[in-house]
Amino acid sequence: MRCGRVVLGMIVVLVVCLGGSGPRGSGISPATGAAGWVLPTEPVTINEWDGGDGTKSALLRELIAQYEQMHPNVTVKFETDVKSLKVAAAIAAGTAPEIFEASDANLQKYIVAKVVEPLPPAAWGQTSVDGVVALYLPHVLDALISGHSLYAVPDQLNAHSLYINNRLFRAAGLDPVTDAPKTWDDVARLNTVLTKKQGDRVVQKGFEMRYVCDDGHWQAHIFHILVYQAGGEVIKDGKPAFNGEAGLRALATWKSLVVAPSVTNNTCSSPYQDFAVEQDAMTFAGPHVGKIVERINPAMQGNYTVAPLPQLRPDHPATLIYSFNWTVNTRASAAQKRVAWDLIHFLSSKPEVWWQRIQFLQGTKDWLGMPVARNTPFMSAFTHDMSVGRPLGRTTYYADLQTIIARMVDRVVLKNVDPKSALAEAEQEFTRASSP
Amino acid sequence: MVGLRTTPADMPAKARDVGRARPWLRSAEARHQAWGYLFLAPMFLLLVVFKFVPMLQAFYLSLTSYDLLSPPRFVGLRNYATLLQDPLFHQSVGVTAYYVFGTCVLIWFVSLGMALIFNAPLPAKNVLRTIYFIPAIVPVVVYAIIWLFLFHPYGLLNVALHAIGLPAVQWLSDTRAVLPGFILSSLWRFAPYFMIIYLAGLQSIPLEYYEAAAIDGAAGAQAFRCVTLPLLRPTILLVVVVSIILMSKVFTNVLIITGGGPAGATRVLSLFIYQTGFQYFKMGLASAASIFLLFGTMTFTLLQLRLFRDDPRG
Repeated sequence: MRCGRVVLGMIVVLVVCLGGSGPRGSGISPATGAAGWVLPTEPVTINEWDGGDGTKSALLRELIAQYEQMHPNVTVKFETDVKSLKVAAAIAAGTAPEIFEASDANLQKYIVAKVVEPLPPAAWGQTSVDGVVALYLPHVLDALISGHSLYAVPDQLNAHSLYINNRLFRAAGLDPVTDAPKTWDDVARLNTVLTKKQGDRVVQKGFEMRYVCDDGHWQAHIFHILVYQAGGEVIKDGKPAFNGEAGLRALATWKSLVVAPSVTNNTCSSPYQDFAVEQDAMTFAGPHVGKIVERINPAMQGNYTVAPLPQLRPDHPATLIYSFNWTVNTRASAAQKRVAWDLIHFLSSKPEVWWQRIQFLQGTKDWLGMPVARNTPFMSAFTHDMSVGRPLGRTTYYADLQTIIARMVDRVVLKNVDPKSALAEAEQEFTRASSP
Repeated sequence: MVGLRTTPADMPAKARDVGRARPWLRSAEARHQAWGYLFLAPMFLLLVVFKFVPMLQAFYLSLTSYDLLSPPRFVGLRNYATLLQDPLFHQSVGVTAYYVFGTCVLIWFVSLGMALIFNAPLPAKNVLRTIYFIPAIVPVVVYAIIWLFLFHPYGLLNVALHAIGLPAVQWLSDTRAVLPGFILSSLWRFAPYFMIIYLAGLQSIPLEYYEAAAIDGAAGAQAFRCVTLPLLRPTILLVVVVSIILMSKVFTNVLIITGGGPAGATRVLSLFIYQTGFQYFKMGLASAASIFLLFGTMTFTLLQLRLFRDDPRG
């Protein structure tokens, strides 16, 4: 009898404790996610905007439906294919959703403007930001941290690797594994073997940089990679740092790899088209691109090999790591924020599903130990490139930076402008663009 | 509604007497005017809400620093000063001027020539006119994609050049070739549209004038110079004004085909405004450039209206 009373008392204390730690004025219940992260029990509606394509949104819809089943009081209104411009306009109008996707390039701007909420470690079952960071591969969250706060976690994390077309390599008497280029000089040499012409018409290329997208997205990525590989920085303390030896070496390397930039069917919405239709024998891309290439051209299934990205100095390997991330709006109510972070934790805790369904990596350590990771082809190349990846130059003027880099590359590659003066001009342009 | 009131001094004496006797709205003329303004009101309201207020708002924004994320901060005329020193803006103004005048001058002559051809007795004239008009009704995105294919290094344009023994042109990557290419594509799209306007002007000239000119011994080129051109003057004014306004607003095809590249060679002013505002989130600077474009277009229009104004001395 006495024992029963003790148990009853403990239950009452537990219920009171749980009730007292929740958001003011709301009923709460333990989350199904991280232990100790309590959720409101009253109806909560949150909006989520994502910038992804059809395959990603299909998976997200499924996962959100699962979450809604687990939490019948939660309704998630999901919108897909949302561009960053719409997010910015909605923030200005005060109508931004509770969860929105932000690339690491845009995140700095959002952090400075205080429109994104710092991630609460408790939602991940951790007591500190370091605890959350420790769940991920080293440095992959660097771009998402400001001060002592972490502002987002990735839904997609990429480091560029080198994709090789097996058939075209073999047709040229090369082995896609043993003859995979280790340096950019190797790539330039292979270009002479793999580029084919009919008359004066280029019908096949070895490797070509990507010049599509008016915002300069790809040119900025490659320039970052080459500068990092040359031992330099693109941005240091918010100031341009690319106008130096590393920048010069990057541009010289770039020029050595030019074949015929205008001979391309790549577009901004289909940037891997040339590799997929077997015009280009090699390209650079993240882990998710294999499936995209196979969708464009089913004949590419089993017809490609992935190797680590070529380097300028193989003893100091470097590449770029970039991400698209879930963020939470500071304007959301306390209850919405709790649910939003819990949903993000739920979505990001299924790395095996993300990989199997759409080849998205999120950079968590536990993923590497899963059987699906061990059985994934080319995983060593992907993880190698992630391990040497560095984030994009950190600036709130990244949009300016990437178009300035693209214009600089255009000047050097297409107009044969001296790289030294092109770098100086780009530095001036960025200094002017980033002056408050 | 300032225009509604007619002062007694403006009225004829009889009307003034009537006006004294009866309240203003009771006169038939006033009632007629009131109805007119009433019917105009919805359109006027739309213009105010969706044109003039945004224009005023853009002017206000042009005096601020605003990135959409934080509230606008008043900076006076700094955005205008920045634009004046910005080489990219200078380049955009140059590109726009090159494109507008390159395209417009060609359009004025080609569309007039085509109108003269289609105004003459021709077999299957209506069918030919319809075929020639098709590019003008193609949606702008389709038009841009068609020319994306035509401009491809191995596209039809280069095939045609090759067939006549000329070297291929890198239409989209050669900074010297890309703008002439755009001018060519704009001519393809807009010349039929202006041809129709010219054709309407030509058909409104009474045949009697040509008959009288023929009796006086003027035919062919002389009749064109002495009869057609003077009577086509209002149409020419319309074509010149509308074509310059249309071309200075060019945007979609440039965005789709080159995105302003290579090396900024096709970054027209409207694209500069778009990129400044919606890629770099510099709304103040973009608004200042918009105001510049507005005043530039207005200045040209007023200039043309003055140049083409009928000489009162005959």
